[in-house]
Amino acid sequence: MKQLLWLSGSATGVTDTVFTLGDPSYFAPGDAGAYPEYFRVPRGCKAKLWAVQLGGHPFSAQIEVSDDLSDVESYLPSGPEFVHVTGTTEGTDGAVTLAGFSNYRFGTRPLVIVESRNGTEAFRVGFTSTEQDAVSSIGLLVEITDED
Amino acid sequence: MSALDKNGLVRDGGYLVVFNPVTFLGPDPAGKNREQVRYNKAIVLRVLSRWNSTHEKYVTRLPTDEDTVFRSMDSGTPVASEAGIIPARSYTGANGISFGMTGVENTSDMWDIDYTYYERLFHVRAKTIPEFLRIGVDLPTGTNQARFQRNKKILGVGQTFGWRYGNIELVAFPEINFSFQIGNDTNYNVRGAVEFTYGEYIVGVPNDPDVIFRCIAGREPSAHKVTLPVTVYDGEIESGLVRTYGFDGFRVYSQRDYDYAIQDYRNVLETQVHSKVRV
Repeated sequence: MKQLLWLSGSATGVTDTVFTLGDPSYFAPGDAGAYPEYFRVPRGCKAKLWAVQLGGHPFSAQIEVSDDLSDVESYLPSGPEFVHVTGTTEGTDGAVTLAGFSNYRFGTRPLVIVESRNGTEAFRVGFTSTEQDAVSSIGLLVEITDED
Repeated sequence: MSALDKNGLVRDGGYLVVFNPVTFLGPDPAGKNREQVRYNKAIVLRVLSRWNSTHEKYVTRLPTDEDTVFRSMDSGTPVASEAGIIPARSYTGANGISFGMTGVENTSDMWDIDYTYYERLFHVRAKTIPEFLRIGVDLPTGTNQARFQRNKKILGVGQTFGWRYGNIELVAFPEINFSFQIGNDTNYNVRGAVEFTYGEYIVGVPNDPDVIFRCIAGREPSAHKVTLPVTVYDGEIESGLVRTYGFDGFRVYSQRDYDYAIQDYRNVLETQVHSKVRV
């Protein structure tokens, strides 16, 4: 079983938050009209992060992982910090800045793998920015699979 | 050559063996050591041809709406926000779901046909969209037969194990209803759908006991085996098979009991199997 998702979301008017991520092809927002702040990986499956695209106002994004959904503080940074810097062509950690977007692609191996063993494992994307009145966006190409 | 084509369906002229995992008790064919031994049964059908064999796909969203009853994997009573949704952390109700269609025999279940369709059989491969939805089958409808350690523990799409993601293979016999169970253990409301790859087979019971034995024994290359998803032999299954075919399966013999098997199969063919279904 393999399923690709394009989880995307945006942050507006804040400097420190967590993205709400959704893929309208496969998910519907909750009652409050918003997607969740984390993705709970199906039990026995792996979530593989294959690519990240960042856009909008400069910001940093951090993948955070938890194996215990009962505690919000249990989310720990995992993997590299993705940095989006506009107005420059200088890459950071493999980043390529093109037309206002920073693209990270990981070739033949996913950069982050979150494996669910108990059904309580989840990941989310933290957001930090220096400017409050701005819009930033992120998209993650994630594969959900029960294979290696 | 494989018994199946690229879509996982039996080729024209091939055989389908539907194995019943529930054991029965009967006389030992050799009759030397024990009076009663346990054995299984299997239905053997020859696929004469396939109907509409180049267009055997059907994709449809989940037949759920705001009134659909779901069960929660945590607590509470989940409700779908709109049609086609399976709520976060939920699975379908005790009666499961069926896929309705206008213009068919049973408009609330596209796979439901009665015994008058004795020469037809649906071989169905269902794939969930997205693929991380859990899927299971209740046979007959509303009867979850997934068990662990005999009947110690009930399994299924809403439990911690005893399910699968993404796809399932099943055979839809005339007269035997079944329903699907779908589960979503993510924290997202999922827009679910199912892609069916199906074969509408024109079938009959082979009239040659040797062919039946070879198919059951796994020695017929063009035979494909499917196991019924049951742990208890529900009376509805038995009566449905008997009404359609006249019998509910050939006894599965060991290789060394070939002579007994041939004799038994010949007897079943002559005395039980409806003549109209023999080919």
